[in-house]
Amino acid sequence: MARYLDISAQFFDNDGDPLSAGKLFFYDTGTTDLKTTYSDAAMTIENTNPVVLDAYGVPGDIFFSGTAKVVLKTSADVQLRSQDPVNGV
Amino acid sequence: MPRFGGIDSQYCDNTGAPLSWGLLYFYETGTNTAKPTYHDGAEQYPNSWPVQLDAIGVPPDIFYTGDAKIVLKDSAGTTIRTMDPVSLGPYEEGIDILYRLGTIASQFLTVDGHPLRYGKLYVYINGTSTPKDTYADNSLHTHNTWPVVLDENGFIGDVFYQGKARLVLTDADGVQQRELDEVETFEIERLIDLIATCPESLTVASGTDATFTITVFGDVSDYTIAWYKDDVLIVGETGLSMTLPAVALEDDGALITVTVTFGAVEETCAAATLTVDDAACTLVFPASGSTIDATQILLGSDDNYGNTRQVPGNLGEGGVFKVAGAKILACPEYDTVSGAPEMYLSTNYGASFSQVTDLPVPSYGITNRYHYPRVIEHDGTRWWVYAYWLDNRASARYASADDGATWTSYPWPTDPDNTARNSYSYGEYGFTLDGGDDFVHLTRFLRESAGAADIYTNWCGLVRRDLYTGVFAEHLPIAYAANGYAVKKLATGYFCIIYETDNTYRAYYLNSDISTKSAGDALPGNSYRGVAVSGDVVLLSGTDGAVYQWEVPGGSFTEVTLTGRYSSTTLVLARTMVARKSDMWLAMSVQEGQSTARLYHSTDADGATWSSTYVTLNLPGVAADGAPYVELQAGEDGYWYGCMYSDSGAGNERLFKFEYEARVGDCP
Repeated sequence: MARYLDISAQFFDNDGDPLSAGKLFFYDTGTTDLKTTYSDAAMTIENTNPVVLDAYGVPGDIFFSGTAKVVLKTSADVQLRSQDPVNGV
Repeated sequence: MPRFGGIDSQYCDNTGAPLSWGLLYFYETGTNTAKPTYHDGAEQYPNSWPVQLDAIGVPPDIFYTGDAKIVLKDSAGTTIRTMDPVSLGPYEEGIDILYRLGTIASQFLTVDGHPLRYGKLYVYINGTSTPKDTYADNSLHTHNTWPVVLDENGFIGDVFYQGKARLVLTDADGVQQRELDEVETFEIERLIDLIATCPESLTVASGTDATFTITVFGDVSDYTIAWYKDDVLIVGETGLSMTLPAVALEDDGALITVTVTFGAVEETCAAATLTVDDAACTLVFPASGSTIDATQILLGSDDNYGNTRQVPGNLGEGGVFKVAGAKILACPEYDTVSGAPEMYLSTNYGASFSQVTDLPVPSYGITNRYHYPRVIEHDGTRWWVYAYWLDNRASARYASADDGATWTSYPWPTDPDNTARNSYSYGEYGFTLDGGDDFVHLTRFLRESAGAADIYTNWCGLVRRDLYTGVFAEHLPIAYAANGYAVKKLATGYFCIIYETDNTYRAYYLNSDISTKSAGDALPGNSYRGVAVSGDVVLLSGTDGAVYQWEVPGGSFTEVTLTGRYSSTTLVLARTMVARKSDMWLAMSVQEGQSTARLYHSTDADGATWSSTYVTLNLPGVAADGAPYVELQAGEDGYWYGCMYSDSGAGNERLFKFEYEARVGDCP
């Protein structure tokens, strides 16, 4: 089980302002099938999908196994960017 | 020891402003026990604890192994966020390990917290200033630009690379922002997809090249390519295409595979099948006006074979020989003592000849008669020689089932229809195998003394007999008081030439059971030298040097155009012999006094049209003289076999071979 993103991870909008309540959607790589992530390394506590950033654009703990596709959207569901595949740290 | 964070690591406060002089506290996971970190991967230089960010919120180099709890605080010691555990490595080492640079959070900011628009990221081979390839996909199909340019929001996009890297970040104007070495995050699985398209199965004609092709993703110069035929490496073939030159029928069904290797990644295509078909036959003729040589003399010399028994001028009156596969049976002379034909046999396309045992002389109660062969045939298993008695009174058949070691004589049987009529029959020039256990020949029914009414008296007829017993099957009178000169089996019947009592040569067509005959068609110029047939096509060689095509059945003779052929005049004789090789005809024109022949080839299968100019053939050794008789046959080895003798008594017989057309592909 690998952590995704480290403590430096903070998301900003295109103006450089914190992406408050932004959303991280996780999918199985190469698909649009939602992928479950967890807030603990033991994979006992599921995150919501999307994972919602806090008011300062900072995500909580995200763990998952394998490889994922991740899509970043604003709180208004405007997609900012996407990466596929991604692994944990 | 793995690095913590990447070049994208920049910390901001809750407003998005760089977290100047912020602090990173590292603990053993789940505890408040300080965990050491290092400034280098070799653990030589410990970092301070806590690690302090710089004025723009960027941390120094941080390396550690295992799990840590990390607490981020501002410069005043206020906790901003905590993360536990944060696990690092150990990572697999190797230049082939694929990494994604940054995360979806990798957005670079300026010192004042604005996106680093169009910043540039220079990626080098670790520890060097050598640019390193990066890719926009994890199958490494698409190269990124170098340097990688951030987008207008300072986002890095997709950057994949193999092996550790050194990174330098600049702004759009090239002003360096920060630098990082020993970067090996984040390891990602390589998408094994080197080959875009695999070779397709091919069907080619034998004798042609077979080329298999693949296409690959990415830069082929990065790859190692190996081709295999039936699992055997094809040495030297390392490109995107591979050619098997001039494939043969034995290559049919070969399995072709190709392997593409990139570092530790290897991909192999499913096997493609090579199918080799018989190639269409293409004939390549000598250039018009060119000269070729009949340099391979198989038999013959100026001293008449060195055989004192040889009677000059009796090379079967035109060189009786027969080519059957690699075997050649030739009779250049007859034995003046025994009267039997004297034969020479080759089993290697004429490379060497050995004299066969003299054929036995049939017992007719007549001695001092000489037999010289008119026709030599081969039925696939044995030779048949049809010999003509010198005084025109009888003929004989000989057969050898063992390539000339032993021979059997089959005396000409008495015509059962004539026994009561005090008549006897004898063979003429015509003899042909009919493809079964019979042969067909021309027989003259000559009654020596007057007797009862006999429709066969003084008639020449076509007769089918059993090959061994000579018993009649069918017979048909054709012409009154005539001599037969040739008979050939056609596809639908028989063709024969008979010299009749009005001193005219006539051609006849007879049906397959020789029960009907056409009206005789007089030969042009009343001439005849040789005849060649194929299917129902008949080409006649006249003594005037012309070649005539005869339509079956019973059509008219049409001279084919052989531009520049030799022609007989009052004083100078010319001959032209024609023969067929599966799909073409060849005509060889010779003339008394000439040391060269002129060759023509047909441009259609029925020999109606011919090459517009001739090719000169240097005759072997001697010039034609007297009345030059020629013979021509096609060999299965691609050569033409010719024979020429002159009846001037000089004894300059030659059996020779030459190559005329080149055959490309699978030719009959």
